Amino acid sequence: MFRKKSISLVLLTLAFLLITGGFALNSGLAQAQPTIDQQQEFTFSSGSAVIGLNPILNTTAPDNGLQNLVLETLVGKLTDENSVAVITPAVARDWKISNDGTIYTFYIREDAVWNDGVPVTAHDFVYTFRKMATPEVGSTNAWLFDGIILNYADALYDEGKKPEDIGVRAIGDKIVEFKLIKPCAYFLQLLNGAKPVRQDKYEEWGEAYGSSIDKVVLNGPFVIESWNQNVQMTLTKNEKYWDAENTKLNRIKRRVIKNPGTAAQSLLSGDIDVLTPIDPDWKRMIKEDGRFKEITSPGSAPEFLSFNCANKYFKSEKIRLAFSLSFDREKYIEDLVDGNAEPLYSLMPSVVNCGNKVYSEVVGRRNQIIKTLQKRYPDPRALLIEGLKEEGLDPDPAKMEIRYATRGTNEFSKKSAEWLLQHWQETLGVTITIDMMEWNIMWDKVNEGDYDIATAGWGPYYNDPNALLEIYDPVKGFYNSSKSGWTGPDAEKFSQLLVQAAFTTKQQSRAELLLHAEEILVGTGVIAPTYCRIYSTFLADYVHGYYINPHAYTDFTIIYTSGKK
Amino acid sequence: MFKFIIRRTFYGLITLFLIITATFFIIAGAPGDPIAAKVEQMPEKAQQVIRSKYGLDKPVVERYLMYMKNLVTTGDFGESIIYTGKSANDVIRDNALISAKIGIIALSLQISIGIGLGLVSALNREKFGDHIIRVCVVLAICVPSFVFAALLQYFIAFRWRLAPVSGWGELRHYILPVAAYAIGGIASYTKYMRSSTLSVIGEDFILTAQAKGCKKRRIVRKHILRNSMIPIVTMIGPAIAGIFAGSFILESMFSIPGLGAYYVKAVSDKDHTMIIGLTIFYAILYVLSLIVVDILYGIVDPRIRIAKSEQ
Repeated sequence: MFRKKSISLVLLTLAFLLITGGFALNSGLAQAQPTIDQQQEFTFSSGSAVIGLNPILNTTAPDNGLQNLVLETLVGKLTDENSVAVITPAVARDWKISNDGTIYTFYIREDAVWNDGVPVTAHDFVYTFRKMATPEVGSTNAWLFDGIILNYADALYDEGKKPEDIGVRAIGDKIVEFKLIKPCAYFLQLLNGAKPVRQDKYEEWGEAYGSSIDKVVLNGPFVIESWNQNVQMTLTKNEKYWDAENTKLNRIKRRVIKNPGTAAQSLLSGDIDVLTPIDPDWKRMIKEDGRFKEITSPGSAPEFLSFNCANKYFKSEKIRLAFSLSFDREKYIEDLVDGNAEPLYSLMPSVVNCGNKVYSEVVGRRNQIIKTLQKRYPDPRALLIEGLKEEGLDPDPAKMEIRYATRGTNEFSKKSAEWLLQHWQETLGVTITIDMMEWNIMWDKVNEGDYDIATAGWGPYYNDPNALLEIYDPVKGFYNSSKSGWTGPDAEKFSQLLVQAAFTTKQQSRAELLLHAEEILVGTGVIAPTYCRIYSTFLADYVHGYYINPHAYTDFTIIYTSGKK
Repeated sequence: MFKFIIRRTFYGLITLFLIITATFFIIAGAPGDPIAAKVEQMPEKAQQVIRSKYGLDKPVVERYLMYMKNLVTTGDFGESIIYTGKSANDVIRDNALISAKIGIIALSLQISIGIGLGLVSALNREKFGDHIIRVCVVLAICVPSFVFAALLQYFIAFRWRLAPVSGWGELRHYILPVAAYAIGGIASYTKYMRSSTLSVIGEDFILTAQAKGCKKRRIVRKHILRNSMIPIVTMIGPAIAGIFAGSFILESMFSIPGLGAYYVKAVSDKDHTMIIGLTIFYAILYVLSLIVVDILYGIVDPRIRIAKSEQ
C-alpha cells in the first residue's frame, strides 16, 4: 500500500513537474519565437537613390546595399544573430582553400538559379571576373582584386595579359577556382564586391545592363517588383531562390527620403520601420516615443587628419606629433558629435577584426599609440618648438603658416575646423588658416599634394587592419608618397611590414606585424586619428531579426514582423 | 509676327551655342573630378582606367568637339558618368514632368490668387482688408519656402495626419509641396499686382473712363486689369522656365523625384554630361519662355503689337 502510494506520489510529482516544466518550456518558446504576422512587410529608407543594378559598374554604398538583397555571390558577408560579421555559404555551398592559401575552390549548389530559371554556373563567375578585368569596361570595383588574383592587375592595366589569362577558371559547370598571387586572409570578404552578371544578357543589353528592372537578371533572396529611382523600390520574395522556404519577408520597400527631418517623422508616423537618425533632437524625440528598440553600433570608418609630409613644417616628425598629441579627443567628440563616437588613439576602430578575433584584443590593447605618446611628451608645444629649431625654422609657433583643408562646406566641417583652430591656438600657439572646400576639391588638392593638413576618413572594404593600413602604402596606397609626401626609411619599413603580414598565415604573428606598421604610421604622426562614429538605430518594436554590424550586411532573410498594426 | 518669331529663334540658337560652350569649358576647368565621386577611394592607376573609359584623359578641346558633334548629329546630351547606362535625355524625360506637374499647379495658384489678392488690396487701399493682405504678403515673402514646408510637414502631416509626410505617386502627395511652393509666389504676385494696379488707377484714362460714366466693373476688367497685368507677364516668363527646374530643397524635403535633385547632385558630383545636358535643357526653356513672353505682351498690350507691326 505504502509502496503503491509512494509510486503514485512520484508519478503525480513527475506529472506536475512535466506540466509546469512544459508550460515553462512553452512560455520560453513563446518568448523566443513570437507569432509571426500574416503579412510580412518591411519598409526602410535611405538618403540616397540606388543608381543602378549592374554590379560591375554601380558600386556606390546604396547600390551595394541594395544589390546585396537581389544578387548573391559565392559567399555571403552577413550579420548573424549575435551581431557578428560572418562569411556564410551562398551560391557556393562549400569551398576549399589550399594549404598555402593561394587556391580557392568553390562548389556551386545545384539549386542556385537566376530569376528566369536559368541555373547559376561557374561560367557566370568566370565571365564576371573577366569583364571586371577588362580595361574598356571601367568596372568601379575591379581594383579590389588588383594584386590578389593571378594576372588580374596585368590584364586590368593592359600590361601584357588579357582578361582570359586571369586566375579564375571553371571546372565543369559547378566548380569555380581562383588562383591568387599570395595568401589573402580577407579574400572571402572581398568576393562580396563581385556579384555575378550573366554573359548572354550582358551581351544583349550592354551597358544598359541593370539600368532598369527589365534589363537585369537576379539570383538573390528578393526580386524587384517596381523601381521609381528617387522615390521607392519595392522588392518581393524570390520564390526561385534556393533558400526561399526560410525567407520570412514577402515584401520590402526601400524608400528614398533625403531630408533627415522627413525621415524621422516618417518613422514616428509608421511609414518606415527603421532609421538611424543623426540629428540629436529627432533622436531624443524617437527615444521618448517608446515604440522603438534602440540598437547602438560603432562604425568601421575612422576619421583622421592627414599631414602633408612634404610640407616644410610637416616633414618633421616632431612637428607632426605636436599637432597630433595636442588635442583632447574625448572633448573633441563631446563638443562636435555629442559624444556619439569613440575617440581614436590608433587608426583602428574597436570593431576591426584580425582573423576571427578583435584586433585590439589580439594585440593586448597595446595599440593605444596616441595615449602612450601623450604620456611621453606631456608638453606638445615644447615638442613643436624643438621640431621647428631642428628644421632651422623660426621657433615662434605664432609665425607658422598652415592651411587646413576641410572635407565639405557644411556646418559640421566649419565647426570641426574651428574647434581645431581654437585648440591648436591654445595648446601650441599656432593659428591655422581654414580652407573651406567641397570634398571632391579636397581630394583633388590631396592628389596634387597641395595641402598642409587635410580632413580624411576611410571606410574599409573588408574587416582587417590591412584594409586601413594599406591606404598609406607609399607605392600602391591611395595616400601614396606623391599625395602624403611620406618617404624615407619609415615609409619603406611600413611597406615591408605590410608585405610580411600578407605572407604570414598565423594570426598572432600577423597582428604583431600590423601593430608594428600602425605604430610607425600613427606613432610618427603621418596621420592623427580622431574618432569613429557610433550610430543609434531605432527599430519599430514589432520588427525582429534585424541585426547590425558595420563590416557586414544585415541579413534580410531572417527579418520578420510580429504584432504590426 | 512670323518673322519676329523666326528672328527670336535664331538669336535663341546663338544664345544656346554660347551657353553650351561656356558651360563646357567652365566645368572642364573647374577643380574636382567626376571620377572622384564614383571612385573616391580607388588607387590612381585604377582611376586612370575609368578616366580613359569616359574620354576624360583627352584634351579638353577634343572632348568639346566630340561632344558638339554628337549633340548636333544625334541630339543626345550624352551618357551620365554617375548614372551609368542613362543619358541626360532619359533623366530629363523621366523627371522634368514631375517637377513641372507641381510647378504648373503652384504657378497657376500663384498667378490666380496673387492677381486676385493684389487687385482687391489695391482697390481697397488703406482699408482693413488691404492692411491684412499687406501684412501677410510681407510675412510670406520674408519666410523662405522651406520653413513653410517644414511647418506644413510638422503640423498638417505629422501632428494632424491630414496629408502624407512625404512620398510620390498619389494625388494626396501633391498637397503639401504645392502649398509650400505656392505661398511665396502668391505673396510676390500680390505685391507686384497691388503696386501696378495702384499706378494704373492714377492714370488719366481711368479718370476719362469714370467721367464717361463707365461702370466700375467694366473699368476694372477692361482698363485696370489689362494694364496692370503687363509687369506680371514679365515675371511669368522666367517662372515658366523655373517650374521644370523644380525646387531642390522642397523636392528633397518631400521626397519628390523631380529634376532639382538631379541637377544639384550632378553639380556636386561634377557629372559633366548631366550638368551640360540639364543646363541646355534649362537654357532652351528660358529662351522659349522669353519668346512666349514677347508674344504674350502683344496679346495683353495692343500698343506693343502695333509698335512691332509698324517696325
